[in-house]
Amino acid sequence: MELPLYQRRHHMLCYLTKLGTKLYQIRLQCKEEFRYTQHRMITKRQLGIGFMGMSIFITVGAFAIDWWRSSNLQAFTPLIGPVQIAALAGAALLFFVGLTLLPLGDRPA
Amino acid sequence: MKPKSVISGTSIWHGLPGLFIGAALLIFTFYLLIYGLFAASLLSFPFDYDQGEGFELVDTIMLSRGELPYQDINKYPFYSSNYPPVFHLAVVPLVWVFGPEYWTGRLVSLIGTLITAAAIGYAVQRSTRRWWLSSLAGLAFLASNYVYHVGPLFRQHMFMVMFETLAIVMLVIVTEKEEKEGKSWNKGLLVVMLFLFLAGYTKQLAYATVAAAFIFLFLRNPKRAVKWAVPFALVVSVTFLLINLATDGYWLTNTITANVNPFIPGQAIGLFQQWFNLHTVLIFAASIFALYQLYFERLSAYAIWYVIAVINAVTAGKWGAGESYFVTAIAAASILTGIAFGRVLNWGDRRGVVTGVLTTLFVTLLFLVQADKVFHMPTDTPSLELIAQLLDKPTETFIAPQTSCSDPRPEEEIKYVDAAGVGLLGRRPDAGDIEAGNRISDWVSKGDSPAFSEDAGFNLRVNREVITNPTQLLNLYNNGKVDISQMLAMITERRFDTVIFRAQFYPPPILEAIGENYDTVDLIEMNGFVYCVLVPRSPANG
Repeated sequence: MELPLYQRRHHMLCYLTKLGTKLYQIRLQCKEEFRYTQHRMITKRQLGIGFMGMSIFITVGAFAIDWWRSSNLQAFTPLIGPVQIAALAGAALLFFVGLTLLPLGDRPA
Repeated sequence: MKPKSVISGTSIWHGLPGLFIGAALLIFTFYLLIYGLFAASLLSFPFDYDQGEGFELVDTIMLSRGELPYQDINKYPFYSSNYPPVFHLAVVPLVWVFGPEYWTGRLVSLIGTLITAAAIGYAVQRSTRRWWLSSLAGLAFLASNYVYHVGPLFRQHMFMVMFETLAIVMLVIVTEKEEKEGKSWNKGLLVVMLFLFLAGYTKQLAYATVAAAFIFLFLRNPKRAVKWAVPFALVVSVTFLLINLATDGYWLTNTITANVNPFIPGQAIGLFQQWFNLHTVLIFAASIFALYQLYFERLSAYAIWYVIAVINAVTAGKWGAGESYFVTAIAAASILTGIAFGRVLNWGDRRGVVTGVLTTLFVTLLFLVQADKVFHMPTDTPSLELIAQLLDKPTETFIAPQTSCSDPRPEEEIKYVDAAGVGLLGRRPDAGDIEAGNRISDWVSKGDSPAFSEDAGFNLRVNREVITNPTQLLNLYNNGKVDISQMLAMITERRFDTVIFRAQFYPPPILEAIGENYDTVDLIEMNGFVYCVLVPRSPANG
């Protein structure tokens, strides 16, 4: 199976930067280093999904706080305040960024 | 063979970067000098320069005696602190040796700020191997108006930023070493945890940096991040519980409950606008580089730290918060900017002499623009005034003294200019301010009791007990966590021989009681603030 581009790049860079040492050592070191750096890292796609999940959480939270306050104060106000607007704008931006990260696939975050 | 004109042109090309680099270094070194002048003035000023400094000194004095400053504010002397103890503990040895002096904490804070700048420079140097760029990154941090204002104060904020910066820089060193050598370096990571712990126990605001560090660890290795997060949380929690037990629960009330303050959106928006206007180059460079890392390479710890710090700066909109809440973001931005510019310079160098020179000019020009953005300097000596004139900048500012308890006063000439606008911080205190502080202290010494004073310095000056911590009292009052009946009784019985107001940051019933029982006898201006001295109303006047 062919390695993804970023992994091939890593291999190439690893070998190039270690020129001058014995070939046997190079191979061992690079394999170990590669194994270490790629050890169950979060990927760009996972990060994107995380961003999108957070944006949904923020959106729900921005409205839930009104619900929570109204149940405490017995005075529900359906108006969206400036902080909520900022939170919703931030959530929309986060969702968009998350969406754009999805195509980057398994590259490390 | 190249024609002669081209050869001489090439030598000019080679000279230009040095000229621009020299100019940028000169200007930022000038800011460092300005910083030193301000710090020196503060070190010799024996009263509160910023409201709250004196209470930090009181915390330090209490800790130096082995007492914890998290107390029952309902009981005389109604004192309690809302900040964790690490900064004060660092000052304690100086207080043991030199006594309760303001310069002790200011010196520690100043050293912390300089260490932060050095850590920023080191972080950039590791990545770029260009000493002048590393120097500019560290100096750009020190040149920030906010760092200038807060750095030499007896406040714990910059000490927290120092630990935050050391933690993130160390985190980068650890992860790079681990990836290079292909094995874990747990001792290094333990040092990171120690710095994070100290940052959090210097000031609560460091939670954002703790979050950034663990997010970074999680992205690199989720399992390992969890493995370290659990014991870290355990140590933090156990420490918290132990202090809470030792203070009968007043630690929780004073450091957590009292900090739940109302959020003022206008204040947050205004501060964000000001932060952006003052640090435009740093913000643009850091943001673009963070975005580049997000899409084209792995996110660095610095990028994550920067983003989290910017988001956390929203809390600057809380009542009682301010510009200092942006300093962590400025530290992160300075590092990212330095590394980003290093990449640009490397890119330029790879494309030949002309591109290399042009990129150097571009980078240094951006630093010069940043230097202009944050312009601030005192102009209280002929030489400084001349420098301001030569730079085509104003040489004075006209603002009215701030007052809460007297008629508004006319504008006065202030020999200090600041792109952030001249407020209370930044101008150098002078002999007149010291004389004003002594006059207020004289009022305290005329009475037999300690003064009910909004600044701690006047009581400390005449060796009297410090009565209450007004902003902490107000925070607790607003959260319904204080019983002021004993305090009110003492005020209505006129048991305090002197009351000193600054901004009147007391709960309204306290202010009403003082208004009914005390009369203003003197108005004294110190550091651009009108202090009102009140004494008990004579029985003849009710």
